[in-house]
Amino acid sequence: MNSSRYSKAALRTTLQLCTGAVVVCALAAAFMNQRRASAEHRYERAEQRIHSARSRLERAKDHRALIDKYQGRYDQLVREGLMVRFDRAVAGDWFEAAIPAKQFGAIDGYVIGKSAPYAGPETAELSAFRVVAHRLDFTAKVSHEDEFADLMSTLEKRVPGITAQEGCSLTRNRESSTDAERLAVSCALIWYEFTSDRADLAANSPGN
Amino acid sequence: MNRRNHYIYITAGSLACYRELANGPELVASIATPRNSSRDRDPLDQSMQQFETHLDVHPHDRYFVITDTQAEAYQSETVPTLSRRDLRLLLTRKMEQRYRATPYRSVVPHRSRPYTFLRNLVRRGPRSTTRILYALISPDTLAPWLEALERRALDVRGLYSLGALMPALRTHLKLPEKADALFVLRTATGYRHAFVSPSGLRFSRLCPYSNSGETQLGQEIDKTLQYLTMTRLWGVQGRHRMLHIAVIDAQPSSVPLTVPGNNLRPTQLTQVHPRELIPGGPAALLDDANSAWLLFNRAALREHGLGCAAGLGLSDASRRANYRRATLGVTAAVALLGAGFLAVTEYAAREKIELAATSELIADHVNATAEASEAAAPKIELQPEQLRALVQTRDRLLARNVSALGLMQRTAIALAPFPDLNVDGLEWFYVDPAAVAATASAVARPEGLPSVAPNSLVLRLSGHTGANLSKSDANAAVMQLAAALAKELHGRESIEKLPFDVAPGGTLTGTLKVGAAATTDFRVAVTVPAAAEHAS
Repeated sequence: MNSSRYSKAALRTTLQLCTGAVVVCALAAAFMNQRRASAEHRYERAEQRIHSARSRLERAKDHRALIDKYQGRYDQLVREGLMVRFDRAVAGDWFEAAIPAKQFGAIDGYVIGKSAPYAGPETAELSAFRVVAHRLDFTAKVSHEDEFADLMSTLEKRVPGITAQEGCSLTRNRESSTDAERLAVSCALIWYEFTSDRADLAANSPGN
Repeated sequence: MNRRNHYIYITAGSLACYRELANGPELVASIATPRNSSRDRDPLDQSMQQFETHLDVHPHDRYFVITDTQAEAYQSETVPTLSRRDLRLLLTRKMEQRYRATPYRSVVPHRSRPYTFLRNLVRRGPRSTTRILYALISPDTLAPWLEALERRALDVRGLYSLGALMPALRTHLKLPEKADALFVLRTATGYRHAFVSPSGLRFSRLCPYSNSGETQLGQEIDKTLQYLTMTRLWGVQGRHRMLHIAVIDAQPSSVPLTVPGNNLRPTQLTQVHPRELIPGGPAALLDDANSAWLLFNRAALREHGLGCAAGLGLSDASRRANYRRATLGVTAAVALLGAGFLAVTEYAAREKIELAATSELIADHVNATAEASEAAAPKIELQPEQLRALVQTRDRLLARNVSALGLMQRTAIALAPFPDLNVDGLEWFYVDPAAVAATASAVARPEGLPSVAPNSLVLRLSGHTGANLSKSDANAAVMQLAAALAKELHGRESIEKLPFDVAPGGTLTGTLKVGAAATTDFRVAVTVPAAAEHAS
C-alpha cells in the first residue's frame, strides 16, 4: 500500500517529478532563448555586413564614377602644369615670354609678391593639397583700349600655370603729348599653386 | 519488465487473481481461504505461501484489490452543507465515531471529487444530502493478504469495495438518472445487493448462499426492499420513484423470479447475463461466479479512485489527491507552455538562422562585387574625392578670372547713349577674403565703397562731363549711366560722386568768368555679385 497514489511518498515523488519537469522546461526554455538570441545576434551581424558591403559597393561605384569623370581632366591639368612647383624666376620668365614683342615696350615693370596661402571657400573640400597664391602686379602704358584688351587677352592665353586676372585700373592721361601713352594701366595677376608641402609654404609665408 | 494490470479478488471463501493479458483478463491463481483465520492457522499459512509465491512471479504488475466480504459496513449519514474544511472535519469525526477500531475506516464511498459532487448537489437545490460511509469493520480477513502486498512494496493502485463500485452499473444498463436502482450481483460468495439513488450509493450488503436454493434470490430481494422501506430510503411518502431491479447472474435460476410490489412501490425487474455487459469478453470468465463485469470496467475503478486510500485519513487522501492533481495540472500547463514556447522559439530561431544565412550569402556576394569593382577601377595617385576636389577647386579659382575685354565691351555699350560724358579712369577688382585682400595694395579699394560680399566684382568708372551740358543734365546723365552700367553688368549701382553736389549738406560754387569752368568730375561704381558675375 506504500505505493498508493495518495501516500506521502507518492505525493513527494510526484512533486519531485513535476519539479524536475518544470526545471527541465525552464532549462530547455533558457537554452532555446539563448539559441534564439544567438540566432538574432547572427542575423544582426549579417545585416550589418550587408550594410557595410553595400556601402563599400556604393563607395566603389562612386569612386569609379568620380574617376571616370575627373581622371581625364586631372591628367590634362597635370600636363598643363597644375602640379608644377612655383618659382618666381620661372614665373618672371613666363610673364616676359608671354608679352607680345610689339607691346614689350609698353610694360613699365612688374612685381611678383610673396607667396600667400589661399583659404577661400573654393578650397573647402580640398584636403590633400594646399593652395598658395602668388600675386604679380604690373604697370604699362597703352595708346587705347583695344591695345589693352589685346595685351590682356595675350597674357591670358600665353601665361602658363593656373593664373587669373585679379583686377585692373585704367587711367586716361589727357595731358600726354603722344597717343602711344594715353592710357596708364595697372593690373594684378594671381598664380595659384597646388602644393602638399607645408614646410615650403611656411618658408614663403608673409614676413619671411 | 512486463507491467500488467493484476486484479486480486478477495471473497470470504477464496482469493482469485486475474491478470490482464493482450486478449483480456485471465484467471492466473485461485487460492482457497479459511473461514476463520485465527482458528485454521495451517490452511491459512499454506494459502499465504501460495499467494506470496504467486506475487513473487509478478513483482512489477499494477495490483487492484477488490473485496467482496461481509466485513464491509455501511452507514448513512446526513451531511449538511459546510465549508470544505468543516466538511472534512465532520466526515473524519463521524468515521472515527462509527468505525473507531478499524484501520481502514477512511475508505468512504465518496466520489473521486466528493466536494465538487456535494457542491453540485447544493447548486441543484437541497441544502444537505445523505451520504453513506463505509469501512472494513473486520479487517482481520483482509489483513494477511494486504500485509503480503505491503511487505513486497508492490504497486498497489487501490483497495476497492465491490459495493462501492456498483453504482457504475447504472451507466452500463442505461437506467434513467432520476430513478432508484437495486443492483443484485451474483458472486462466488453470494448475492451482493446495492441500492443506488440519484445522489449515489445508499446501501449495500452481501447475502451469502443459504439452503433456500433457487428461491433465495427472490427472498433476499424482498428482505432488502423491506429494509429500504423501513429505513425510509425507498417506498415511503415522497419517494415513489420507479425502482429498477437489475439482477446480474452468470448462472440464472430456472425458477421465474418475482418481486412483490404494489401501487406505492412500482418496480421493474431486469435480468442480465454478464456477457450482455461485455459482449467480447472470454466465455470462461463471463460464466465464472465472480464479477466478470468488474474486471472489464476500468471506468468504475477510476471513478472510485479515493477507494484506494486505504490506511489514510480522508483529509490526507483528499488533500494529497488535490495536491497531486494540482501538481500534475500545473506541470502539464507548464510543460504545455514550455512546449509552446520551445516550438515558437525554435521556429523563430530557425527563421532567424535562415535569414542570417541568406544575409551572409548576400553580404558575401555584395562584398565580392565591391571587390571586383574596386579591382576594376583604374589606379590613381589621389583619392577619388580629392581628385574631384582638386579639379573643382581649380575651376572655382579660375572662375574669378576677369575677362577684361568683356567688361570693357559692356562698359562701352552702357556709355554709348551718353556722348557728353568723358571717361578718365576705369578699374575693377574683386572684393577678396582678408588674406588675399591684404596683399592687394596696388589696386586698393577706395574709401566710401559700400560693403559687399567677398568675391564680388567691383567696377568703378570715373570721368568728367562735357561743357555743353547744363548742371542738371550732367547730374541726370551720370545717374542714367550708373543705372545703365548696373543693368548691363547685372549688378548694383553706386554713385560715389555727382558732377554737381546736390546733397543737403553740400555746397555748389559757380563762376561766370570765361575759361574758368567748374569742376565736373563724377565717379560711379557697380558691384556685381559673384553668382551674377559667373553667370555673365
